Amino acid sequence: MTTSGTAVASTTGQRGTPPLAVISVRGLTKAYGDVQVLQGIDLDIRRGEVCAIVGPNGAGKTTTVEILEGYRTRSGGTAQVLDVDPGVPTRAWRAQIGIVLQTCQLPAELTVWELVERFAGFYPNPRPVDETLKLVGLEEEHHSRAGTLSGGQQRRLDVAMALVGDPDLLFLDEPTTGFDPSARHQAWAVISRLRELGKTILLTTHSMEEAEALADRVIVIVAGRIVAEGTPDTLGGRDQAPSTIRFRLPTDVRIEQLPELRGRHFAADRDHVTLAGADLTDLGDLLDWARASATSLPGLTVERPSLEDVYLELTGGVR
Amino acid sequence: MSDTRIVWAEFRYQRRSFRRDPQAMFFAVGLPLLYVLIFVSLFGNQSIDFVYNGQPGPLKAHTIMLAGFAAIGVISATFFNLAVDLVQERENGILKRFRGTPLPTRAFIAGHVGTSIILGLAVAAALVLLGRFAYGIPLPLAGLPALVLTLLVSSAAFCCLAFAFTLVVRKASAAVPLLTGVTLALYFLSGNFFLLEHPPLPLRIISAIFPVQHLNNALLSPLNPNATGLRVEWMDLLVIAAWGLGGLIIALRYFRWTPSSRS
Repeated sequence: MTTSGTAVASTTGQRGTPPLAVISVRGLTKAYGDVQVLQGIDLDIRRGEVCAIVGPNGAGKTTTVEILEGYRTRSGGTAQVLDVDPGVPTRAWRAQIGIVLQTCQLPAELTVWELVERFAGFYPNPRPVDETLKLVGLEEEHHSRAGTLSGGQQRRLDVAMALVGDPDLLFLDEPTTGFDPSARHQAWAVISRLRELGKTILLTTHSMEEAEALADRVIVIVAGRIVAEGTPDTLGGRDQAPSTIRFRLPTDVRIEQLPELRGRHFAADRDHVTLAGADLTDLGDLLDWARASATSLPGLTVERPSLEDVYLELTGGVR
Repeated sequence: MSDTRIVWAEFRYQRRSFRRDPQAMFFAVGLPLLYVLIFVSLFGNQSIDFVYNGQPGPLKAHTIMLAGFAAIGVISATFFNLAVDLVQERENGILKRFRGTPLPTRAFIAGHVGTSIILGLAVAAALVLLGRFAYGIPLPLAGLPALVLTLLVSSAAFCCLAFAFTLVVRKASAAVPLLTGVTLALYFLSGNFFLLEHPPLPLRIISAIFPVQHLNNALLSPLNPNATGLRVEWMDLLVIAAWGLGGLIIALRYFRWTPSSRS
């Protein structure tokens, strides 16, 4: 470990800003009058990381993101975004970040090309317009007016406008809310391409599927506090959590004939049987029984809880 | 890109947006032209005893009407149109979106205000030329400098008032009805449609307070063939400028960039 405050990469960062942190937040609070919306958020986001903030409505996701974007002031705590306090945004700092807001209807009368070109003009080193449109898959629509695009296309145009300045850090506030499945997958493909470009991305979402598909790390906020964080695979101890064993009951076996595993019985679930809260020992015992009784276990699955299950558990079922 | 180029680019995009927006076109350009065509054709030839500088003199009604409709043109382009645009863009999150970029605020505002002022000048010029060539309304050359000065001062002032007015309107859907109500009421009170020969005192007071009648008068003197000298109505310009300054101060202090709902 290091003794000085400056040298040597330490991404855990107990004190101060870790050298690789693009965003570093300590004890962030926000109150509107008597309502305490954020109760002390600590957050470090490393360069190149894709991080998803999830949580119920009103948990403080957008407030957190908008403080980091420089739109809102904080009530307390410290925040550094690309080594600048977002409470006092500068023009040079704004040139390094890209923002896609939760809701924004773009100027309907301008074309896709015109809007991206207009935004390109705001930045010192913009990415070429045609390249940016290709990145979001809108090169075919470049002559269309923004007002004639579908919801998914408008959102991708919005992303293109956030990207054309070639920012290091992107904020995407609920980028796919209200999308149909194909539009959502297109948007995900765009975000995956951004990850390949090495962009740091902070996104908020309601969809655990989205968090799982895109994020390196998921942060769960409930009532203004971070209640859990981790990779999509390990969040809330998901990888260690008890599993559910499930298979189709063979025609020649009755449910009473199934073994008792550590005193617990299989439950019928239509033509399947399930055992929740199972671990490896239970699975081994089941396989031993199947071998001994020369029966098969058709359609056998062993499932850890889904990210959605973990999320619902963490948020107490509120959505 | 340098700031001047950004301002120029913003100005270009704003003009382009306006040209492609039929509703804005109708209110800012179509309606004032329509007023001239209807009112001047129907009532333009009456002669009125008009007092200028304490001297009554004969004046054709069409000259008074033309000044009034040029005022409406300026107000539609700079006040009405700009206020509707800003409220709409605020509600749609466009203002907020632009705020999140390195675009300097002054460049964004300059694009909007520049477009409105050019539009106001263009509409006023179109009306005056229409009056001159379709109806033979005199256009004294000596009045041109005063005309241009009045147009510049008033369009700048009404732009400032548009920014201030966005504080009154919360929803974009309310912007057009509310602005139509306010401007129509002021046009009637200020004699843009019908000139009352002996208006009652309360009406005279109201029209003296608000800037519309002052604009009518400041636009009429440059067109009035009986007028002499510079024809600049300094007192009227002062009142208009004071309104503009008031609007500017309020806007600088209270203008909001974000939609009213908070999530």
